[in-house]
Amino acid sequence: MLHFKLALGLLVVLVASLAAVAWDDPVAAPSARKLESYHIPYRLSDVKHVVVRLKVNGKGPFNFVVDTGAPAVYFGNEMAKAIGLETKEAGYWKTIDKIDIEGGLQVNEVKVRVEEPFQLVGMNKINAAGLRYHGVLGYSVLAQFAIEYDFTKPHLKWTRLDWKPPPPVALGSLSEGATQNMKAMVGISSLATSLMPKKLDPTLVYRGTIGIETSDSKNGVVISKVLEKSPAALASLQVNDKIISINDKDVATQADLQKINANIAADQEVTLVVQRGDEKVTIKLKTVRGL
Amino acid sequence: MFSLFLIHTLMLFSFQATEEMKPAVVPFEIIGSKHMAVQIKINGKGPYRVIFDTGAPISLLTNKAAQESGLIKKPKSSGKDSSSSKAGSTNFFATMGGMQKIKDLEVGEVKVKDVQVIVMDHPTVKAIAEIVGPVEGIMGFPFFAKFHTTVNYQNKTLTLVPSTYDPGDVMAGLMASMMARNKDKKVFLAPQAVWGFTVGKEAKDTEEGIEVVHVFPNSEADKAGIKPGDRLLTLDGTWTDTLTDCYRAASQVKAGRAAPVQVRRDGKELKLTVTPRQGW
Repeated sequence: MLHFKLALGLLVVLVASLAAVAWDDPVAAPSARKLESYHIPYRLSDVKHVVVRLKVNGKGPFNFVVDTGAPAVYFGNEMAKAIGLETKEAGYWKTIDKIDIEGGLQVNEVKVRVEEPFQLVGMNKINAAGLRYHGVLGYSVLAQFAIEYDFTKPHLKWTRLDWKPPPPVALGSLSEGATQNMKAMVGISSLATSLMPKKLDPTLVYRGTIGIETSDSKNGVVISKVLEKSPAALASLQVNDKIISINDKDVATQADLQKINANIAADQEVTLVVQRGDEKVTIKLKTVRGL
Repeated sequence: MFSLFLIHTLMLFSFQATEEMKPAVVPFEIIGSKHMAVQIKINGKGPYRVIFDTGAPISLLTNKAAQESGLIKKPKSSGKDSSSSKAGSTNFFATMGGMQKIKDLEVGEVKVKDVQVIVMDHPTVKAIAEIVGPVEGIMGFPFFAKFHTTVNYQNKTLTLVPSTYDPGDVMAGLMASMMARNKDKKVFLAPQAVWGFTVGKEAKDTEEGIEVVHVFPNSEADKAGIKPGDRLLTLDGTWTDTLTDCYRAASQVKAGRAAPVQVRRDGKELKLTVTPRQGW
């Protein structure tokens, strides 16, 4: 049973694909700006896909899987409709003048495949990734950049290369058996996702802020600045107050403070106990929504 | 005694430095299907040509390569699992050799221990091999996440520097995540540092960006020049069209790191830099 589930899962999450059709004309030259670097924010989805966001004609953002296993850029149907492109079951090529990639990067004259990659349909159906996939960013755009992946950092680094990647070329046709297997895979993927539960989106909660800066000292966490007009200022917290506890949870280190406040929502009452000189002072205040 | 200690420290230091600094450069091939292919050795056997795939959450190896390299035994002929295979044309489930760990994986001069792979003959890999010649699998996330990886298609090189990131047991995590329901699950989006401004966006407001509501007068946001009424467009490079996006971006910025912020004020776009502080 484990194998069976595993196999189903694998069929669902693997995006590697073959281009249905090749184009003949060369990929447009990268713009004149050369060897510029961009910090591209990404998210690692629940199924470990590297996901970046893009906008087309100011519409979006749309979530794209960064996939060296795909030969081209694929726009799924939902996105195609949102940006006013028609959808055809067989898919078609379309040149898009300008795509904005989150992080300040623009790519121009991109030949994209307007076609629903079946792998995305399955994953979206059961919300496997924890976010909705709108398309796949493959070779034709990725090859224009040197791309650095380091999962200890919140950004990918993309550096524009000074070359024109050769376009995908027509491939030899597949044997009858391989074609059938590929088709069967679409069926199995669809079957797999119909057997799996749909994952719900968790409720997102914005953490609240109170407006203090703190410093770690040997004997605890001390307020180093109270931001003017913040909840902390209105509640008369003072510089040099040492934070003893928040909602009865002890605070000894900066890490404690971070851990406790990470689970306190905006617009919520909190009780702080601080050491002020020889006194212990209890202060009640309300968090606000902000950074 | 002291000098011994010093030498020891220096040795340790230089050892670490070379270990961390020296990037391994692995050549790759762009095959006809425009996939990147690299040569790997499994427990000293090979080389085998595999596809390097950033879109693959797991790594795959064909039965052929797995058997040759001794990762799995030759198959039993009974085909016990084939009853669960629905499609007649594909014996896909019967080909599952299960999850295996490659003890020693070599990619160019890079040696990696204990790399998780699934042994199976995936239809896509088969189809690709049919067109471009032998391909014995896919190297995905569990492999490349262990490195600071640079992919350069122009030079056809993969540059790998060991990273401290630990992908963990990706397969188990993957299955758990796919089977999760998330019923009543709450996720807090928590900024890691204090910036000193509050944000808002009305439900009917569909324009890009969000509103800066208050800026606390002596905060880092104030010092950087953010003003109440500014439209916050990006934070640390992330589009802030929703409060969620803004919070997500802030959750990635550690105290003390300078982060770019873009705001629109009176029709003009301004680029500012805020270095948020430790606090709450």
